Amino acid sequence: MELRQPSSAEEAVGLLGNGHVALAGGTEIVPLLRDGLLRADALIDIRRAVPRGIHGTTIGAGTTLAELEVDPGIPVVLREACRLAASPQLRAMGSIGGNLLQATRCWYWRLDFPCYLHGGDRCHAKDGRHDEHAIFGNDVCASAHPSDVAAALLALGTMLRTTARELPLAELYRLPTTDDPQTTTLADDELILELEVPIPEASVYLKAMDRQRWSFPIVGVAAARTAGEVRLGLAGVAPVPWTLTSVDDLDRATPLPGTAYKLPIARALVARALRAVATG
Amino acid sequence: MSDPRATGSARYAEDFELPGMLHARIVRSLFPHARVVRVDASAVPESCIVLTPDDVRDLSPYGCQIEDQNVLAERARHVGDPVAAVAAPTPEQAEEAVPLVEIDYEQLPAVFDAVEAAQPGAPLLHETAAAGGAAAYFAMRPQPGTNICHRFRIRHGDVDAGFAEADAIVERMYRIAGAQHAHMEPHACVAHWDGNRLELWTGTQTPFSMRDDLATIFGIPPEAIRIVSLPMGGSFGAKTFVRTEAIAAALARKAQRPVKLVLPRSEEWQTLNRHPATVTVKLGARADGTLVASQTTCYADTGAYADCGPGVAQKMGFAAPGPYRIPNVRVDAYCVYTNLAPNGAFRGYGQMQSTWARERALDTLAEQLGLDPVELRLRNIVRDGDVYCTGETLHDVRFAECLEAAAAAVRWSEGRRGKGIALVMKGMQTPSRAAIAIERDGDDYVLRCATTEMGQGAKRALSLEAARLLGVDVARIRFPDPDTSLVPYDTRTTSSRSTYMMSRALAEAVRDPRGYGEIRNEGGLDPDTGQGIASTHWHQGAAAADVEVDEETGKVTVTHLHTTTYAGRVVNRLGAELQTEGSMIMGLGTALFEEVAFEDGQVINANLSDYATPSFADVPTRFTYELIEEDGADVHGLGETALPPVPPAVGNAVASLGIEVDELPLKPETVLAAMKVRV
Repeated sequence: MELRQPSSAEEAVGLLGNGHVALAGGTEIVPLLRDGLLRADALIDIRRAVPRGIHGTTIGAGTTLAELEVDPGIPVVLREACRLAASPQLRAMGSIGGNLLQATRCWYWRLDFPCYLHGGDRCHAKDGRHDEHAIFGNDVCASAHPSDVAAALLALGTMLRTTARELPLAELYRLPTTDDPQTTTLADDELILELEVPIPEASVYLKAMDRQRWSFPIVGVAAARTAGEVRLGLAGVAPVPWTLTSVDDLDRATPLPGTAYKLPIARALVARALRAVATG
Repeated sequence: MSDPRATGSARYAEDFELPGMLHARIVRSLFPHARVVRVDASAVPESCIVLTPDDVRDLSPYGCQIEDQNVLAERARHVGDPVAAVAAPTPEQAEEAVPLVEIDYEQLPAVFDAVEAAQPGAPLLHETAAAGGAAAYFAMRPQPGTNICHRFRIRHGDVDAGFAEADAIVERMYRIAGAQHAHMEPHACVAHWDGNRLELWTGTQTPFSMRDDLATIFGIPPEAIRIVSLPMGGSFGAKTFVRTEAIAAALARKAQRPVKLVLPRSEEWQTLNRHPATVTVKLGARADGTLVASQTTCYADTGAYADCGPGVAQKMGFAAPGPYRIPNVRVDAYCVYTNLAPNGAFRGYGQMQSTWARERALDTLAEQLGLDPVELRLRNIVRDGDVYCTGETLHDVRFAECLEAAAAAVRWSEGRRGKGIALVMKGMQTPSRAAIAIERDGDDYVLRCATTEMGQGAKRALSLEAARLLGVDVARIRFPDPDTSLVPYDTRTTSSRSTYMMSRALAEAVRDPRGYGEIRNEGGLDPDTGQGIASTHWHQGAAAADVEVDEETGKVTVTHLHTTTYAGRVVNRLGAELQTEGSMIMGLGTALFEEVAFEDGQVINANLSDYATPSFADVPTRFTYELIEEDGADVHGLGETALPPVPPAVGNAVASLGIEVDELPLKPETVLAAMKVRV
C-alpha cells in the first residue's frame, strides 16, 4: 500500500478521498485495516499537515492524548478523559483528532455483520446480546460510541476548525439513518485542524468501566461549568457522543433489555458529576 | 541482566523457521453446526497448497481423551471449526487465499448451553466417539444418546440420611463464564516430513502426548515422530495436546515442504478456552456448624470436542467437596458437548469452577447458621491423617494454618464487613510418570527431560535443584529444549506437577551411576464411585479479600488481596513468588471481568480490546501473599494454587455486604442484578 506524507494541510486535502485515507497515530486506522473493516488504496500521513501542540485554549488536532493529560493548562475533564481512555502506548500515539473519529466497538459491526452501519437492513445488536450497547439515540443503530475525549469536549462546549469550516463539536456527529450509515459529517477530503476549548470554572470526568484503565466506557459522564452554565457529555450510551441538555433527559432514555443496567449507572454518575462541578 | 527473555534474544516457537517453508492459514466454519457440502478451491492461486477434507480422509480421528475430532471437519461443530487450510510462500499470500476457498454448508440445529445440551432431545454433536487418546488415564463414561461424553461420580456415605439430620441446608446454583488464556505468543508450529518421519517444532506443554496422538492420526509409530518443544511465550494450559500441529503436518505432507502455522490472535478464541460451568451445591449442617452432607452437580461445557474436558469435569467433581470433613458426599459431574469452540486445560483446571461454587455456598450456610465463615470452616477443616471422600488418607495437611493466616492478613477479627475468605484443595495429575537423564559434557551437566518452559520458570527451578544436588554452580547446568528423540518419557508439564515430580526424578538420577532417574505416582479414581486416589499430592491454599462496592454503579474494587499457600520446601524463591503473583492477578480477571462472550455460538469479543485481562492498574493497592515453607517437606508445585481461591474470596467479600452473587465475572451488570434481589 502506498504511503504519502504531505507537508501542508492544503496538500493533504488534495490527496484525500477516492480511497486515500488519513493516518495520524494509527491506533484506530491500523487495526481497522488489519481487520478488513476499512479499505484504503493509499494512506496519507497527516502528521506534518495538522497542527500539534497546545496554545492557550487552542489544541492542535495532532496533539496526542499523552501530551494533553499532563498539561496543567488543560481542563481536568479532558485530562482525565485522556488518562482513562487507553493504555500508555495508545495514549502516546493516538491524536485527539483521531480519537473524535473512532469507530464503534459494536461486536456485530466489528464482525462485519450486514448491519445498517455496513449498509445492511437491520441492527443485529437488538436481536442478540447487546450489553455494551446504547440507551439513547438507538432507534436505528444501537451501537455505543466509545470516545471519552468527545464526551469531555462536548461538556466543554468545544468548537472545531477543519480545512473547510468552523463548527461546534456536536455538529461533527450525526445519528445514522436507515439510508445513510455515516456517524460524522466530516467529508472524505476534510481534516480537523484545531479545537478551541473554553476554560471552565470546574469540570470532571467519571467513567464506569471493567478495568481501572484502558477499557471502553460502560458509561462515561463529563461535566463542565462554564460561565455559570453546566454542560453534560456522555460516552458509551449512544451511537454518537451524547449531550444531555438536562438531568430530565435521563427519563427519556430508551434502553434495550440488555442495556437497562446502564441507566442507573448513568444517573449515579450524572448526579455525582453535577455535585462535583457545583463547587470548586 | 542477561536473561534472554529480558534482552529480547529468546527465540520462541513463533520465531522458528526452516529453509523453503510455506506459511499456513486455516479456513474455518462460519456456522456453529453444519455439514460441509462442497469445498471449491479452484480460485486459489497455484502457488498455494490447499488442504481439503478429501486430503485427510486417510487420517484417523484424534483427541487426547476421546477420539472425536478429524484433522479437517466434514461436519463443522463450532464457529471456527477448521474445514480447510492453505499454505503459501508468504503469510500475506496465505491470508489472501483464505476467502478464495469457497465452502457450501448445510446448516444443522445447534445447542450452546451445557445444561440444555445434556437433556434428552438436544441436538447431538457426536453420535459415536471412541475413548482412548494419549491422555485417557481413567475410564470414560459416555452416556449414549446424549451429549454427555463423560460422567464422574463420588458416592461416599448416605447423603439423604445426612440431609435428614441437618438443621440448616443451603442449595444454590452457580455459574462461571468461559475465559481465554490470552498467552502473549499465539499457537505456533513448524512441521516437516523427512520421508515417513515427521518432525515438529512447536510450543507445547505436552510433547509426548502430542507425539502419541500424531502417531494415531498419521498411522505411524510414535518413534517416527520427533517433537521439539520450543520455549513458549505463555500458555496457561492452552498449548496442550494437538492444536494446530495436525493441520500443519498434513499440509507439509501434501506440499512436500516444511509448513509453518501461527494463529492470528482472533483465532485463539476459536481454538481453546476455559470451560464455562454450571455448578449446583447443596450443603447440610447441624446447628453447631458441623457439616453432615454435601451434594454437587457440575455441568462442564467442553464445546464441540472433548479435548481433556473429561479430565476437567472429573477434577471439578473430585475437588468439589473441598478440604472439609463431610461424612456424606455425593458428586455428579458431567462433561457435555455444545456447539461452542472447544474448552480445555486452563490454569486451575476444573478446580476454579467448583471452588467458586462450594466456597460461596459455605458462606451462605454460615450466614444461615449465624456463624462466622472462618469459624464454620475451622470447625470442619481436614486435619493430618483424615480420610477424604475418595477414600485416600491426607498427609502434611496445612489448611487450618493457611486459613488462619489469610484471615489474619485482612484483620478478620476486627470486623468482617467487606471481607471474604476461601480455601482451595487442588489435585495434581495422578497417575503420572517423570524421568530425566543427566549427561556430562566436559565440566557441564546436561539435563535431558521433557519438562517444558512456558515462562513459569521450570528450567530455572530444575537447574537450581540440579546444582544443589550435584554440588556445582548453576552456571554449569545446561537444559536444552525438550526433544522427544533425546529425552525420556514424561507425562506432561501440567497440573503444577513438574517441580515436584521432576525434582524427585532428578534426585534419583543424581544417585544413579548411569545418571537416569524415574518416578511414578500411582493412583486414579473409579469414575462410578469416585473411590481410589485422586491425587498423590494436594496443593493447599487460602485467599482473603477486602472489597468496596459502589452500590450505585455496581463497581467492585478490591482494596486488599492476600493469599496464603503451603509451599513445602521451596526450590526457587523468586519463581515461587512470581507464580503466586501471576495466579492472583489471573484470579482477579476471572473474578471481576473476564468472560468469553458468545452470540449464536460465535465469540463476539475475540480481541484484546474487548476481552479485558487485568492490567497492572487492576492490582489492588494492598497485594500481599505468604508462602508457608517447611524444610525437609515435599516440594509443592505453585503454578496454580493461588488462583482458584481468589474469585470466591472476592465473591464472599461482596456477599458480606448483603449482595449474594452467584455468577462470575462480577461485572457491574451482575452486581446490580444481585442487588435487586437483596433481602
